[in-house]
Amino acid sequence: MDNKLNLSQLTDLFCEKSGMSRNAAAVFVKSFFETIIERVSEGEQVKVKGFGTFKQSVISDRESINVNTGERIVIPGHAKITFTPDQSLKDIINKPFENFETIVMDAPSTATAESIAVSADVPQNNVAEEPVTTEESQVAVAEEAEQPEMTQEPAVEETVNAEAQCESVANDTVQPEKQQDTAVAEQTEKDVPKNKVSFGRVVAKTAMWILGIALTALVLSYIIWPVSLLHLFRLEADRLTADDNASVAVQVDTVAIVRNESVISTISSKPEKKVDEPTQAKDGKQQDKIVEKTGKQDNNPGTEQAQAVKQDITSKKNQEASEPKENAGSPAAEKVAKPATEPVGSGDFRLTAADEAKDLSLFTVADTTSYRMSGTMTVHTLANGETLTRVALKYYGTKKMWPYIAAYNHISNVNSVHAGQRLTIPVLTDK
Amino acid sequence: MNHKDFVATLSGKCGMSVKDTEKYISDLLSVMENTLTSDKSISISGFGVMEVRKKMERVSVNPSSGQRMLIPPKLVLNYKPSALLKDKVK
Repeated sequence: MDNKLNLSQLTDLFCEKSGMSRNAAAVFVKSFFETIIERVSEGEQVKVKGFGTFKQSVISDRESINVNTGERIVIPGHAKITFTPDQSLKDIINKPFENFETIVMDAPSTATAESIAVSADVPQNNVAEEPVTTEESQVAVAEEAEQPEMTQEPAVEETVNAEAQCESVANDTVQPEKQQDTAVAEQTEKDVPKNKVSFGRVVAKTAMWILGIALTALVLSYIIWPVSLLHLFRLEADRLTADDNASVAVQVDTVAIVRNESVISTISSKPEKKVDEPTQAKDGKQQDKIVEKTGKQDNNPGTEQAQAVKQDITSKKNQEASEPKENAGSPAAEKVAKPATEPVGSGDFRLTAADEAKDLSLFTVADTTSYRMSGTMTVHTLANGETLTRVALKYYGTKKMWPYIAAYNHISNVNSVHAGQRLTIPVLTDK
Repeated sequence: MNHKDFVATLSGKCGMSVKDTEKYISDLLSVMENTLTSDKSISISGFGVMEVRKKMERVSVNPSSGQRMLIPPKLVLNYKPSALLKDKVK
């Protein structure tokens, strides 16, 4: 695109070509374009054979937004002049690219049998419907292409800002041409290759999908399975810890209750004991991970023991009103408890060496210190998986203080606190 | 205005017979084609610009069948009306 032709230059060329006198030529060319201008301005469509059609097209109103203010405005409609060249003119201009055809694509890289098959369907001037004639026309065109090319070589080279750009698209241009050639050969077979190729592709695709899904499932299973096991373990652990607390709790709990006036008398009031159970109590203390049954059993013997302990400790500390309650609940038990628990250690709350080795410092709450609950510190809502010991740890810095919380909240079964339960946390002051 | 009318109008303006104008029209067109194919654009004041533009190849999809196809590059004739003409039409 190095040059622009203006009217006079065009006239000169025309003059040469037609042999008209210069003046006449000038007049002719000028009126040629003027006629077009006039008629189109009036709204009339102008059609020139071998050239094209000039006409006005209406552009309708459209809503838009004022870029500065952001408010909606209407862009009014207007008309524009359009020119559509005739097919013959189009072909002449597109000569350098005339052999190119549209290619059907399945995947980005393919451009073979399928493309050929479909390209046969694409209407082109060169491509007739019958393979034979197509072949001929192709050959004919190729030959024709050669001749004008030779005569126009210098022109062609210039034209080839078009073609230079073509070369930048070199690979693609080569392909269509190649396919053009093979198209000729294979057009007769068009249906068969198309079906084969596409079917194979579909199969491959589904196979890949299945493989992908299988792999994903495998990987996930490796991750999920152990995680779920861990979770189960954790649940177990929680439960067991709770049981620990339970077995311990029962004993300590009872002590706390007594001292602090609060009424958890229900714990201690289940004492339909047999004499055997104290020994079981000891086992319970000893930390079996064996779960709820034992835990519940522990409750009772624990109570007995606690009773014994209570005798010991509460004698040193306050004897509160709950004691009578306790007693009301289990007077018999008390009496039974005493002799029953003696073998365990005469109310001594200490553990065996084996047990002491374990972290059961929870047992020693009542021994070492005592606190008075003197008001509410705050209210705590239990989170999922939280236990009273954790709450105690949070508010008092030690797990040992959980009985106070239990007592203050009148929790009868410390095993079955639930998430969302609100506990009032008492302020503990030294006695 | 179809071709016949156009030729008639033009012949009247130039004072030539219809047959002659037809011939001269085809001459003019061939001159224009030559210039266009040799990579020159034609710019006529008051009328506009005629130039050849290259359209890059593109991938398009047949909306009903969903089939993708590669449309090859091509050269097209582009007409841009001049400002004068555009104003006339507005």
